[in-house]
Amino acid sequence: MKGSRLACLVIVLFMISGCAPVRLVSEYDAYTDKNVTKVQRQVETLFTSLDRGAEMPECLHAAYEAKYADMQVELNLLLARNKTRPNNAITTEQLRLLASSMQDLEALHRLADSEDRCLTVDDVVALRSAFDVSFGAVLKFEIAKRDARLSP
Amino acid sequence: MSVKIRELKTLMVSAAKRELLDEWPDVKVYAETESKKIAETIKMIATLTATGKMSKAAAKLHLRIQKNAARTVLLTVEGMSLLAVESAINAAIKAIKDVVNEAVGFTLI
Repeated sequence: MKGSRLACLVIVLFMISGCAPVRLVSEYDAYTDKNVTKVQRQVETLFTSLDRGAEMPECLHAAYEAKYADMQVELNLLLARNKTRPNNAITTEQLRLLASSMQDLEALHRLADSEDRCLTVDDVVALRSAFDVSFGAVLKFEIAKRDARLSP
Repeated sequence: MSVKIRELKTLMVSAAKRELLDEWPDVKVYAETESKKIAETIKMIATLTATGKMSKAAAKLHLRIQKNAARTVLLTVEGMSLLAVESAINAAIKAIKDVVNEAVGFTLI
């Protein structure tokens, strides 16, 4: 039964696609790969600076405002580009989640300012873990798009 | 044209199965590893909040970031599964290519 369904699906997809290979997700995009890695580096630089014991007032949000703006701009550009790519709903949603997390990270930094303190080492440990996982997930999928189509 | 449907079906199904089985263990290990990292961090946030080392307002923001990370991982798993299905379909088409082309006498696929 499953085999018959697959056979029908393949025949229908073949009729629709002609001789071109079937594509269920977007093609690999080198710009996305490169620029997600760039934002990942910017975030890691921010965390490293904070967990190396930056003290008041150097640790406050105000000192990092321009960096946050740069990262948010980069993510917005990535999001805009990825929205236009066909079959790309997954990567688009991932980038939207990353942009949302970036806003929350900035809100946490502002909250620390309002409590007259630096972000703590524990804050940075939790944040680094989440952002590592998020960036890793976006990049893993983007690279998988390339590698899946390289295999014979 | 002497194309046997049963033969084509067998070729396609075995090619597709091979692709799906090859991909799944990697996706499973990845999902488990990343979920464990997120669970450990959420536990840490809960402990810090319970002991008063983290404010409730900060904990809420931290949890939303962790939830976003978890959703991003699940989306990658979904995407990897789609890539595996895509490979399976293309492998199935490739598997019947020679049989069909030979039967019709020209390059149809």
